[in-house]
Amino acid sequence: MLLWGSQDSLRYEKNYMSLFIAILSLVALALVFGALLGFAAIKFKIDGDPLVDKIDEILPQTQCGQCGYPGCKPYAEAILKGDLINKCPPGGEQGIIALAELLGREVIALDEELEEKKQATVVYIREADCIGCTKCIQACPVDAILGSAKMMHTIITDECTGCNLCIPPCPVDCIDIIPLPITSQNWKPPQPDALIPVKVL
Amino acid sequence: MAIDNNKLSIIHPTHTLTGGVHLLDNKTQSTASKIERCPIPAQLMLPVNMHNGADAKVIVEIGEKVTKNQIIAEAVGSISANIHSPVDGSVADIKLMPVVNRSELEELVVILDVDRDASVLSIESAIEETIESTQVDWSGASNEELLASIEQAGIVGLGGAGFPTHQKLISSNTHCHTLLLNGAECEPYISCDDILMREQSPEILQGAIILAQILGTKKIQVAIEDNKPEALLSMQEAMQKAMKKAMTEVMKRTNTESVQIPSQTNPQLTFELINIPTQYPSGGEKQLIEIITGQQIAIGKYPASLGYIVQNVATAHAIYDAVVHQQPLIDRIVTVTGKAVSRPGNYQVTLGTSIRHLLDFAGCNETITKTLIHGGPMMGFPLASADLPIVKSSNCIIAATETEIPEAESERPCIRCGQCADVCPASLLPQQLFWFSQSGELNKAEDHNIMDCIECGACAYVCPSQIPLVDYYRFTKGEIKTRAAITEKAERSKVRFDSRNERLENIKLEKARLKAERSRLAAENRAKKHASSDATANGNGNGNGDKKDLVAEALARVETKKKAKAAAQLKAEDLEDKKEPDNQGTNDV
Amino acid sequence: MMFKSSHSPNIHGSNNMRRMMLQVLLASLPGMFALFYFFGWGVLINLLIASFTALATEALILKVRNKDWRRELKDSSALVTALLLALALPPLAPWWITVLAVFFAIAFAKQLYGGLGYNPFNPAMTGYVLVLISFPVQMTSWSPASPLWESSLSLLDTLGLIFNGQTSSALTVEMLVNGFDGYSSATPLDNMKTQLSQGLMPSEILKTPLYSGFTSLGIAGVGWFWVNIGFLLGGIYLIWKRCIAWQLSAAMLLGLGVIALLFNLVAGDSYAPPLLHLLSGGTMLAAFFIVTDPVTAATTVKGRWIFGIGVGLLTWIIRTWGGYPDAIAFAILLMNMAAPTIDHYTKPIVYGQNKSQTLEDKK
Repeated sequence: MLLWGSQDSLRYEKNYMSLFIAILSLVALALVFGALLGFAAIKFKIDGDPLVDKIDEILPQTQCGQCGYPGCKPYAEAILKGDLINKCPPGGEQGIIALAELLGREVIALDEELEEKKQATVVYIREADCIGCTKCIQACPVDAILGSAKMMHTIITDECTGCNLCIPPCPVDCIDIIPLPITSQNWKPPQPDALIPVKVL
Repeated sequence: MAIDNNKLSIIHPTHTLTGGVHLLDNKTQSTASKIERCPIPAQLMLPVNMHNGADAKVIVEIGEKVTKNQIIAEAVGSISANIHSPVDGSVADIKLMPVVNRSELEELVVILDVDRDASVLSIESAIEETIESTQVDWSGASNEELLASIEQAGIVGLGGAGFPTHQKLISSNTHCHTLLLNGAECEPYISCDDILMREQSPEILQGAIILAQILGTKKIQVAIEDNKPEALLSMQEAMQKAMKKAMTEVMKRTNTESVQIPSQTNPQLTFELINIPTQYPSGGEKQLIEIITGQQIAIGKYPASLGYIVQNVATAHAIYDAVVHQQPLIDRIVTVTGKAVSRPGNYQVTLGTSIRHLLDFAGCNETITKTLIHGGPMMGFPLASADLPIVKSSNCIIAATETEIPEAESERPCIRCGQCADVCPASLLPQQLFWFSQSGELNKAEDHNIMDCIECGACAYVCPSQIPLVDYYRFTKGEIKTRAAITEKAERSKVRFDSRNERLENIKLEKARLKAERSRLAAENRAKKHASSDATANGNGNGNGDKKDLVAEALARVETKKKAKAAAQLKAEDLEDKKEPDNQGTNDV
Repeated sequence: MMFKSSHSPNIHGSNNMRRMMLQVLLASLPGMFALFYFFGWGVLINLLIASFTALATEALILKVRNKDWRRELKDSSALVTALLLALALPPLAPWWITVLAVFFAIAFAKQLYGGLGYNPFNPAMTGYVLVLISFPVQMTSWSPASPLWESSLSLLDTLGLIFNGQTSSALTVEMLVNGFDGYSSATPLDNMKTQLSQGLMPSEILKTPLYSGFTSLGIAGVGWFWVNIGFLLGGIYLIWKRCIAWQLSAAMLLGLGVIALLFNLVAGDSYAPPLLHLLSGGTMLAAFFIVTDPVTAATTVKGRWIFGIGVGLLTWIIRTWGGYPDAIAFAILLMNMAAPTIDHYTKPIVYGQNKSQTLEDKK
């Protein structure tokens, strides 16, 4: 520390002054920018989808209830409230990853008790065995079964989501699970060899 | 223009193709000889889907006898085409079989046994018979009648796409000012259009005139690449003859000695012959219009909506056959080429002929054939076996040896050289599309217009890293389409689910309401009964009656309350039940 | 009978990565010969050291990454990186400088990002910048061109200098160079810069023997003039063979030349003439061999022009006002950073999107 001569004290005062000015200007800048940001946040606010709708969009809408909720929208609401994102087998790994990305959560493996859906499936009623009891019609969450009491029941294949909820109620076990038939309309060109993915999870 | 034989001038457009590559033609092997007729084999295999659109519905049964030109499968819906029997014979079988397609999926095929007795006639005399016997004067036919014959004849685009022609014409029947015949044939090896133009230009032009009448167009243009000088000459002569004939007719009609240049009062067809430089892929519809007019078709639009109709020359020829000779589409010209073939050339082949039969006739040595390609080398696809039938879109079969089409080198990383973008005729960024395809970023790929890719293969042709770019794009396009289909279905499922829930809710509310109504009515009735019995018992003593009344009323009130409570509880229980869909009643919520 | 499967398109052009890389090696020969003629055996020895290090590093890392290193090495991209570094580094730099630069370039700037095609920064320039900043003394010890230098080094002496730091007569590079008649180990660009700052005019500076001897015509430095001409010829060969995108080279030379010309016209006394800039230092080498590296440059046509002009401008700016005499490496790295953004904003108009060029809707 130097001795305090008159010049020194002047310099010392000047230092105080510049320090004061520096602090003042920084505070002023912070206030200005803060005000700008606040103003922008309010003025340019985007009314996007509420988060629950975004979650619902990712879910596959199979409405099968395997997650434990009566449909996909209730599960979306539950996820928002904090439930785990790994309860949806039809959504599969892709679905978990998409949900993790959307919500900023970690990607976790599918719940061990649930079996992953390997391939898109639909159901098919063996008409010879159907007794027309309407139990499956009552069970289908998307009304994809056409029929009436004592009349033949049939699956509307285009609307069937593959949830398999119609199978347990059927008293004569006449409903089969079949893989979604590949026709020239829904045939997908194959993946180039170099793209065959390596399992991440 | 005076009526003497001024040479029809050939137009050379000043505009050029964007991008594109120069390929070795490899066409001279197959254009050295005239069209030869391939004999009809003992069996014909006719798939029900030889066109772009819905499968045709089979209307014959196994064992049924069929005659030549009989319809054996009918078009279903508007985008579909009829399938005809090319011979007299009988239906041997109708079953799923491998056919010529990229997916290698099996499709329904009608197998015909050819009646040998009826086909004992030599092929030449059969053709002569057809030409001499049926020659319809179509000049008086209405547009509807002409369209009906085209639809009846099952004519589809013979350039390779196979779109039903009548549908193309119907959907563009308003203000078409130019009919453009596509004789470019830009892919190497293929020469069927070339040879057809050399030998049958007048017939092609007749077909074009029929088309022009249907569409109400006044201008017919034919575009031919400059590597086909003989075809250009042949078409030039045919055009001159057609123009001369038209002018003679006009002169006869108007009794004049000479004819002015076509004017409003004297509307005539104008013919233009356009010589375009040889480059791949100048034969694509959109690219052709860009070369000829210097302008582009807007994204999402078709040439038809902008006044241009483009048809392949072979399609025009098929239309001529259908209208003038009443001949449906039962055969086509196929180029058979490749080093493994000893007699390469163009063959007139009956639809349904097995490719093996055709290759045998053309002298193909199967032991040295390493790759069998259906279509051209750029856009065609390899076939796993030769026992597949020739269909309406089969324009070329290449039986290639090992050295002709060598094994593709395995791909190396993309070095971003940008040569692919230099050659892309649609001005896309193939490189970016490749990186997005690799990383599965479907949204970005769509933003970069991957759906506008015409899959010509020019980018993959020049890629120094030997990346099979078109395979990536096809895969990504498939993913995008699938994703859109899945999203759309999920939307539908959601709507159905919500409406079902609403319906069930309403039913429950109705039930509860009705129950409440009934119990209220029942209480009222009881109250009335008490009132009437009270009236009779009123003489006995008011005090007792009153008390009884009060008690009865109180009891009735309790009843009603109980019933309402029960109904409400039932409703609540039912709601809880919905949460547990399986009957086991596990409760892990 | 089963036939072979094939990818669409089933035929392929003759374009081949290995062929392209070999063309690059071929095109570098005139410039390399000029370097050898004027600066001695150093460049060839460095080339050997660099090639060996590059191949070894790449093979090692590919093996660790479980790739087929024998196949990957065949695309010769590591050799090209080695070549560029060998041509860019001072011919008499110690062997470990070369090894370090090449190792860093291959291992860090290329393989760690994912290998060929995945790196955002030019590997050769990254390696160069590393050694330039870390070892400024060795990197600025350039020997003068041989016509100006009375002693010429034999092969043995060169080997000794590179591997041992001294010749057989125990002379180091510094001693050799400084022992000579007033000429420091400055390059023509360096010399120009210092002289200008001392107030001399460019026209006077160009008359000194450093620039006007041996048919350099007073345009650029002795020796360097011919080296750049050599690389220019090689570049023209590459453009003719369609191995590089000419827009990148043209844009860089244009960017550099035009701004140098402007400043020279306006204030000719304080700024070096454009030809000196174009024909000195690593300009031509960069323009045709380094800027044109497809992996790290912009990819759209418009983007290439912007990228090249950016490199040219930055080179001139750093050369004139920055702290380094030859600034190409920095300019290139800076523009590499901007390349993805440039690509994003210069997307070509897709067929059918250009309203002015599309057919009118007749409806």
